[in-house]
Amino acid sequence: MKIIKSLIVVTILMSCVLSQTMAQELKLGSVQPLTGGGSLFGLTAKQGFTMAMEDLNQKGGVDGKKLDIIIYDSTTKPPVAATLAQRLLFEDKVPLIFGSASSVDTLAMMEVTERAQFPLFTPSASAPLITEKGYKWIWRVGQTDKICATLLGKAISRKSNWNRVAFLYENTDYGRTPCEVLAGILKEMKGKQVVGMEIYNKGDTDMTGQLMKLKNSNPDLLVTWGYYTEAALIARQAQQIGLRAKTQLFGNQSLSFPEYIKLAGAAAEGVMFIESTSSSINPNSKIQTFVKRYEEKFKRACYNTSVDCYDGVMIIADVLKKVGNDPKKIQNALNTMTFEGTAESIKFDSRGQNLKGALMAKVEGGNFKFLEYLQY
Amino acid sequence: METILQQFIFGITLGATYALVALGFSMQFRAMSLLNFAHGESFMLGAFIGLLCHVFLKLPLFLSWIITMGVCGIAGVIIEFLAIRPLYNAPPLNLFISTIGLSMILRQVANILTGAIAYKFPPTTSETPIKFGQISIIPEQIWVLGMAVLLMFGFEQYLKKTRMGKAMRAVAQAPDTASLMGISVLRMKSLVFALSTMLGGAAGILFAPLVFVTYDMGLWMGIKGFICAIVGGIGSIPGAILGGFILGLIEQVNSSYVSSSYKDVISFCILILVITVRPKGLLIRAGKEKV
Repeated sequence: MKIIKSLIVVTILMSCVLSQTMAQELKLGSVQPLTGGGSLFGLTAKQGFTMAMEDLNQKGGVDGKKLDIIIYDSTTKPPVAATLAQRLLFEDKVPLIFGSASSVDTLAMMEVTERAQFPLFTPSASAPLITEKGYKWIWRVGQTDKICATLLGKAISRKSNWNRVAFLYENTDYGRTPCEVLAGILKEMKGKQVVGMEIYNKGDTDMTGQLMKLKNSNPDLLVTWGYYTEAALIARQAQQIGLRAKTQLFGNQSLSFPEYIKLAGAAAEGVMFIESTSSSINPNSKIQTFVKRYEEKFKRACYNTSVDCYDGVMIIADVLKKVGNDPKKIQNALNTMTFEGTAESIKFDSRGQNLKGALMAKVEGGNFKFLEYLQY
Repeated sequence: METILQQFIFGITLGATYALVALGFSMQFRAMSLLNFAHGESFMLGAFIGLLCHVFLKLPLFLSWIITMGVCGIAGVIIEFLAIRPLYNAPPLNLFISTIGLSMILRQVANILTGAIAYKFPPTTSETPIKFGQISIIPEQIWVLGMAVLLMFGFEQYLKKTRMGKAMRAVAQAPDTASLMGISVLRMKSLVFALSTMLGGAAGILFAPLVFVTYDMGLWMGIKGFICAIVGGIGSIPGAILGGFILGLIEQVNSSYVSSSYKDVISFCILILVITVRPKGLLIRAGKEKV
């Protein structure tokens, strides 16, 4: 009996001590796809968080409290992500949740947080829909393909030799939406013409039919939108049928994966693409320092997700220092303040979207080469 | 005119690969009354073994071809022994489901082993197009087409001229009689399976330089090869070849002259039309059971 009693006393004492140290820790939460189809994004997000936490805690944390981010694994399944968001909200009682790097996860989590009127801060997830639902409790740092399409439209308007534009894109939301947005913009412009829109299915291996049809319409610019495997095939097959002589190939962000150059080989030379400013292609000195630190620490290539997640944590640390834990105050601060990101300043529009700039790059000598910035 | 000719070349190159896969389907059906849905995976298997030999182990291409076809043949025998043979006396539906399961197993294992990444296979000849007036021909296409025709021809001759080939045809025509004449039906079936897997594997290593090697490359190839076999008349060897070329050309013409959005829709509509008009396929006359 005595032993049990003393055990209970010890346990109570221990938990008091523990809760004391807990009070000096600031816990935030996130759900990320650490396993399953989105695991690459989940892990790079986690590493971005880790770097931000280390930097902050070295400088004394947030208001003297050590920052810690609980990261649950959504296994890339939206229903799991929604349940875990509830757990962070009601059991862990964190003051803010970071959204998942997988768009479908974040879309599921949004339903939970919006109902609870609770901030869901999403550093990186690419589906445009996330900040188009008109929800009041969602913010996103990262680039969307729709913004990229708009920026590309502005870039094309400045180029006097890109007048006849053709499209070849993957037959999914991912490929179609940005191409339709861009085609719409171009049709409004004087002197610019959309001369062809063709599609392919994910996994297709022969695009020569579409390419030959497009070749007959003599485009100056061929915009492709899809994953890098099909994009690499397009580059090769376009070269084979002689389309590349007069036409500039222009791709989306997926081309910035090193695998693209590996797969397309010599055919990749000269292909241009649009990319987020968070990319390691950006020559900005702050980005380059970050990429160097990241690669030394984790021994792997640094992707945009890590930079966006790092910036995300820094923004939230700023906000929590200024206004404390109250959701309403956090919402107000995020809507009004301007923040300093690694690549550029970050400001959210009325729908919570950061109107981020992009950059144009080119494959040259088997490497990615920065060309110019595209300001929003 | 130039474009049409160019389209034609792209179309028949694609068609030749379909035909090689279709041949396997047709053969298996003819000799074993088996619709093998895992046959597309032999295409993937061939491409990966070729990749392993030629790119990672840096073996010469000729040797890589021999190893690929050999390994595919052996894989065919093993697969037949483990997944098909125990089910010969079961209802046809069981056999059919067994091959679907097999296809999924092979694809998933490939996914795990290769990490779902696309691999580049270096061109056998050259990718730089040679210009003939307005038409540019890629030497690689000529190679693919030539090898495919050679394989098909060699295979036909094997069936017609050799003792083994004749025995296989005998088993296909009348298994009971063949058995009475002293032909081991089981061994012949196993051999047919090995041969068709070998052909599928050859199609894989042949086609790999034109595209990339991925774990799921066998899925569509299987479906399309199967369709070609049906259209040409399942069980008919020339039918499978004809079916392959027809589908390759239809797809090519569709995506450049009609609409890339409806490419597959139109292809499949034409195929449905063909089998409605000629239920047994193009090269098999109605009323005559698998020749």
